[in-house]
Amino acid sequence: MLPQNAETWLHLTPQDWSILAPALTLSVGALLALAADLFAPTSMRAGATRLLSLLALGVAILLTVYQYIPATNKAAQIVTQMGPSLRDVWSFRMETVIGSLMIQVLTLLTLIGSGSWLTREDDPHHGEFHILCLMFAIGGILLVSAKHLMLAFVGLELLSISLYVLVAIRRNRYQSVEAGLKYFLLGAFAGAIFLYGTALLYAGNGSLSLLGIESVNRPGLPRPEGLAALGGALLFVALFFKASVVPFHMWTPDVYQGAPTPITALMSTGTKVAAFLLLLAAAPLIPRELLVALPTITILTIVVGNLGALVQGDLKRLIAYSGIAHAGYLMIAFSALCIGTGPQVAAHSVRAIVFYLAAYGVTNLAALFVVAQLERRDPSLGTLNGIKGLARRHPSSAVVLTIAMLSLAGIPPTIGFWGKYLVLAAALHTELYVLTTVGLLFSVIGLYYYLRVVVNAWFLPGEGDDTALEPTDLATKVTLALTTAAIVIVGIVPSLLLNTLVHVKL
Amino acid sequence: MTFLPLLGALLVLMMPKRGAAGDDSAPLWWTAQVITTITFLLTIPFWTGYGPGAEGVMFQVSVPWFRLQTLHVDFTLGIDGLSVLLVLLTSFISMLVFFSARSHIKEREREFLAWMLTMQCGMLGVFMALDFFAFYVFWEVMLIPLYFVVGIWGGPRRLYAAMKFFLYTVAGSLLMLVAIIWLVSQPVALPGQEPVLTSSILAHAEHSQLASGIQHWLFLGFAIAFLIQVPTVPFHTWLPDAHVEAPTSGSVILAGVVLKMGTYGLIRFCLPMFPIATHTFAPWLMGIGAVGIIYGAFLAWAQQDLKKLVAYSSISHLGYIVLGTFALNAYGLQGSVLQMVSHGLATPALFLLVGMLYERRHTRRIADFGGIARVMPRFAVFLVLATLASIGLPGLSGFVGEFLILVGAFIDGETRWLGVVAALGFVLGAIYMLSMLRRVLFGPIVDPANRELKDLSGRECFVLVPLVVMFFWIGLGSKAFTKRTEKTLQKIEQRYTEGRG
Repeated sequence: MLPQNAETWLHLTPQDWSILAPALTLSVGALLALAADLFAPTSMRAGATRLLSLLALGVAILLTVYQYIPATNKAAQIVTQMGPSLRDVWSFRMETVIGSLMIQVLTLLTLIGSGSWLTREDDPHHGEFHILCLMFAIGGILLVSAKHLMLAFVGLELLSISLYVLVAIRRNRYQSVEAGLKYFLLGAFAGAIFLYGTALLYAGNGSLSLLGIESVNRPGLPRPEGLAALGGALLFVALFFKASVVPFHMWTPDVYQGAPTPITALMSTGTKVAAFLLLLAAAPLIPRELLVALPTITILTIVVGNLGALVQGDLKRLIAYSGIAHAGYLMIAFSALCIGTGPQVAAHSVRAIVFYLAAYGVTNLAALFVVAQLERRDPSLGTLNGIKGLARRHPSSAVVLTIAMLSLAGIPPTIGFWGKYLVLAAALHTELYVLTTVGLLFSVIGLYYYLRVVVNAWFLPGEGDDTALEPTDLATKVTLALTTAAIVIVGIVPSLLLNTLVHVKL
Repeated sequence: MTFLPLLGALLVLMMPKRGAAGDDSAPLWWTAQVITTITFLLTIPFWTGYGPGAEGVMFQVSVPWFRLQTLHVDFTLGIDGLSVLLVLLTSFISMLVFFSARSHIKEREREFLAWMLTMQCGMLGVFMALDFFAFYVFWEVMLIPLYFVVGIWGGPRRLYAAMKFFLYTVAGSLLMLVAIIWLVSQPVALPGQEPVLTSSILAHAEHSQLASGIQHWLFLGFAIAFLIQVPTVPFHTWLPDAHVEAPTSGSVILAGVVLKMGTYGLIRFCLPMFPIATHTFAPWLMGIGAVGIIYGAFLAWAQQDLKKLVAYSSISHLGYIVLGTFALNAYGLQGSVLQMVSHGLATPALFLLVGMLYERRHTRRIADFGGIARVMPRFAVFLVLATLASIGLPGLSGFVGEFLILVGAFIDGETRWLGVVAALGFVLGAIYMLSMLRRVLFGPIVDPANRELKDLSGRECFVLVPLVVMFFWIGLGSKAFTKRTEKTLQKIEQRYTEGRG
């Protein structure tokens, strides 16, 4: 619980401030951008909000990285000198720092890449877009770092509410509004379930603490019983909803398809990072009844995601179902974490999940930004039929799309392969043979629909219009170049990312 | 000497970029040809350096790659007696492909060259990799370009063939991936040291002591992956489709090199690492090999299409390799490696010749030809030589390998009958290949279109002559080859006999 004494509650050590610095920077940035959007002269308004937002994100990213550079020993200082008020609510660990870094980087890439999309929209909402993206990032940071259910809830709502608005930001297009409303109604429901679960957990346990990943496999840790078990289950239901785990996945294809594509990119990647990292922190709260069902849920997620993707004709829907399938692969590692025993289990699974999230994040972002810039030229280019002959009409898009698809399918030398490798290794380490087999089997099915994209782009002639497409705008190019470089370079030299993940403090 | 392969590998890695530069197609082809020639020249030191009687690993290069907890993975490349011939075969066949492909690849040439060069890098890497992760990455790096080559430049049913090929092989390689993860998590005790986790192929091949139960599972994982790649019955159905639909250069690479990766893997991984399991499964695998020989031969006999005939004859010839490998003695192993090289030369020659004929007549139906020898004497000479090399006429390359394999199969009393069955394959091979020759080359010219056919050009002969030289060299001077592989194969056999318990 929070300390009763207000003075100690507000007492923050210098290290506490440096932990909070990224989130604070983003908040200040968001407020300044808001002010600029309201008060700056019309001609400068767009530029000023954009500049401020990018600047805030850049600074926040640097501050986050600074916390974690091993050479400065900053991380060790922070851990030992964390103030009493922050210690109980904020967890400072490898996966939380990397997680909040991922969310900030994904937001930054989205913001950069959507620059020209915003200027072309009939109804840009330029300022709101940037501010809401920053709010999303703040919510994400709070969510991944939370060690306390109240903080988690604040983060969850901040992230979700920003997303509801962002999804519906093209308010003159009914698809966007429909998706926004759908997401809002279901999301609000999930939020309520989360809150109810929190209340029941408090009633049962007398504490709102998320025990954190460090205690997940501690022997003798009591599983929640009675009311707390019910509360824990509800908590997980809400998180499964956010992570689009079957059977709480129904919203995913519709919302992904209806949302503006840059927002789809942000929410498919950022939300998944946030949701899975909160799942990690909440892992000790999982009730026994749910633990038993975990493999079934995992298999269902993989099956539904892959089979669903198999029959899609729309690229965004395909990516949405593939996102469900990837949630399933992540659930393999999560199941390994919850079911396994022994000292190495948590290290293996956490590393697998964090790496997989990073891999999925950059890859999906790349794929969706290709789709975004294609469908901006012609909406029909966002479908499987529309991209026929893409390799001739616009080779660079075809190359990026292919690399992204191979990475999603987990083919080396891409980052996605190492993600898949780590997940399988974690599952085998915990001797989850059934899950491994299912995962492998459906990887082959997954390969089929990823390859269909590749086949249409490269092998088939275009139908009708076969003219070359105009070159991609600079902003999208930057995002695509950065994500593609990450996919390939980390794919060839995985140690770049892996070596930052070995400092798991367990 | 040790950094030469690294240089070669780096060069190979750089090639796609250089090959993809420029717009006009002539300099593109020229660049690619120069690059593959340089690569080939760079692999020649392997031949001279890894001389007769050499043993162990040479030209080893190792750089730290990444680490996972206590597992330190090094990116290791190197050459030993098993891989030296195959590396040379790869660079040799690849070079010829670049010189021959220009006649039938007329569109999207830049992409084609980039893919082919990437594929060459992957193939060389597969044979040179001495680390599980490097092996797996190269393995996939090789498969993706082949998928594109079949899918873009292939025949009318290319999409189906490419997809089938890729799904089959990737299903196999995923199985292998799980086996690799599992195997790498088993500590290996190097002599005089504590057991450690390592992903070095050699450490596992020479020192692993796995329990019998694990061995059986891992053996199945690796073996099925490799048997799909070989391919043997019952996983063979992707091969005829891929061969028939692939452009000539794709077929050449597929037959010449890609199919060897499966049999290479069986010898490299299964025998020395899982001796107990090998002992259990060897009779079954020999049976699969023998069935493949006969079944492939009968299917080849029934074909009306030249390319399909060669494709099914490949299945038959690869059956010999599986049979020889799991005869598990020095003769069988030697024969298998030699047969890999020989098949890797003869079949590409056949595919090249079929491709040349197809470019002239735009048909591959055997019935459409007849009497070609009169209008195309040079073509006839090459086709006869390639056919004879393929069916194992003494003095040409195919004989030595297949003979050693049969000897290997005959040595063991229990499997002698399989040797008899395999020997029947010899007869069948002679029947269907020679009847093909008769129907294509000899007899009266029935179809007037065949009267107009031009004989092979100088450039086409230029591609074929080196292959023919190799047929004779292997056929007459096979000692130069067997001496190089001898020690390594002895070691593998020794590991097997010690380990099977």
